[in-house]
Amino acid sequence: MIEIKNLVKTYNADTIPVKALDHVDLKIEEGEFTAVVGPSGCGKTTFLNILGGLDTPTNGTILIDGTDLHNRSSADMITYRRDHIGFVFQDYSLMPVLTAEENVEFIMELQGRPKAERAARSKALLEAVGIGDKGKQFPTKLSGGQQQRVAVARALASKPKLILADEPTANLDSKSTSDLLDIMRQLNEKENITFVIATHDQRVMDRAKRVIQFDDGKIIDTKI
Amino acid sequence: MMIVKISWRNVWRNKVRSGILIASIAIGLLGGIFTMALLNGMMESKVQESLITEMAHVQIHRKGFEINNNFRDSIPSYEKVVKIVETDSLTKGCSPRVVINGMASSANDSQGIKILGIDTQKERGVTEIESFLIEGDFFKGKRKNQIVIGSSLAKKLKVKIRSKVVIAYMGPNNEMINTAYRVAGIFATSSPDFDKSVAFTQSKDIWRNTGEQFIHEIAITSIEGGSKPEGLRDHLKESIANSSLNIQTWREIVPELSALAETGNTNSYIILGIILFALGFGILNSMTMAIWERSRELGVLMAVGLERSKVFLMIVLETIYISMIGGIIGAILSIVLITYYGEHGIQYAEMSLAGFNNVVYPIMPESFIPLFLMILLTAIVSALPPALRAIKLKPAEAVRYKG
Repeated sequence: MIEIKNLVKTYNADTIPVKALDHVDLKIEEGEFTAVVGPSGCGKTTFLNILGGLDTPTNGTILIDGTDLHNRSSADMITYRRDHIGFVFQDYSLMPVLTAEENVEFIMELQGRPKAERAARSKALLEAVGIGDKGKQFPTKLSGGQQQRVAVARALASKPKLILADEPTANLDSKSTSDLLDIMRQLNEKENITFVIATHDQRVMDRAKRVIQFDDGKIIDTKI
Repeated sequence: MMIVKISWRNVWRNKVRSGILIASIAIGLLGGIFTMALLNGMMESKVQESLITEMAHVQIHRKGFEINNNFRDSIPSYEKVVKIVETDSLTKGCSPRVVINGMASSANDSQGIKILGIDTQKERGVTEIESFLIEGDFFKGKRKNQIVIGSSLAKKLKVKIRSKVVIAYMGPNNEMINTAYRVAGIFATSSPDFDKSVAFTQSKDIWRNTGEQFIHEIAITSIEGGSKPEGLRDHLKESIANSSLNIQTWREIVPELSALAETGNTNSYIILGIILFALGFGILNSMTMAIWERSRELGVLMAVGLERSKVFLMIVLETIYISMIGGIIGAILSIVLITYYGEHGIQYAEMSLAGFNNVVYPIMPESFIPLFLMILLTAIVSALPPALRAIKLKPAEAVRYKG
């Protein structure tokens, strides 16, 4: 379970302070499929970055299974992210010099898993997201929807319990969006993986179990 | 392993940029190595010419002769010494010489010179002065008191073949000996100083004119070549075992000649260092651009769990690959060019200048390892600033970077 207490993030604290997150309190249960919505600049991405350990809060704490997420060194945080959190970005952010399979395998190699295991899991994950035949392709040869599926497979590679997705459907057409959401929901239901998705997309909101509305760095509404 | 693969593939992401960088390194290295080979060739040619015109590989003198050049400091029982030298397994040729400092005069001018009294046949086995003749011959006639002089001396004395030159020197009993010689041959080496100050005559003529038979110097060549004269010297020291004699290699007799060869190497490394220093800035610029363009990608890699040390390694490896490819291409081009010009030579001046031959035959560096180490060092040092910049990226900021 994720417990967010009094989370504050202020940029430019020394000059013109901008409060990106303003005393956010929230609990996210294991296995949730949550959409974080709101206008641009409302603090969605900042919230996801801090939740994923990419950024640090100005104030407040995030407890994951009772442990303070940010109470670790920079090196420990990198290891923690690698082993426990999966990331999906708006523009897919795959390594262009690696094939789809290699992109998925990469994180497992960082974890020091054996080659055979890496290859088998990479293949299985690409099959699971519906592009098992595209493993040898480089990202530039794949469509946007296919690239985002590789990104989801990569996010799953380290067997994380939490996946953070920042506008994952923003660059996808309706069909690709629908397919991607089906895959994410299946993973959420079958594997009990927690998804937190920052989005503007109504289709994502429609499929989410919970929708959290942000504005001016504050949670203004929660719908289940 | 994936890091190695990513670094290698990153090299080829921007083929034009990498290609230009690789070409710069290759051409820079070619310039450096070829300059090194040219300098080596010039210095080696200078050394070789000294060895084949007078010096040979090893010389034997009576101790003290090299300081005073005293007529009386001749080699005692020289026939016995010559016999030992000639029978040594490492001896290729052996020339006993009389060495006298004297004055050469013509009707027009005079010049202080060193006269080498030689046995023509034996001298041919040691030096190649005969091949430098531009006029006349090397004591082919049976006439007495012939002399072979250098072109600079001939010019100064305004003499030609068969002209008369009077040689004056102090005899064994401190009496002045004046002898008229006929110019039999004129040689021209690339060293005007040598051509002006050394003359050859036959030792038998000097013996007849002085009334004594003696030699001051035994010049010897080794079958192991001029680059390894130490073996022959050590052999002779052991077999002759005469403490009144100095048995020295050319390096010991003329250390400045040996230093000249070393100077060539030092100069080459300085030139190469300057070239690589300039190339280092090119690498630094290219890699900084590449890292700047890939900031977002690096941020994502760090976000998903790539340690900073591996980001650092990835960038340094990419630089090393580029530098090594450039280095290998540069080395191959250098080998091809040096091999070609090593056979055909490069004429870089109309005439020989300051003792250096006008045709240079570049000589391949003995080892490319120091060069590759220099390139490797340049690559690593040039990669440091962009690599350090990369590891300082904050993932949260880098993933928002739009390029």
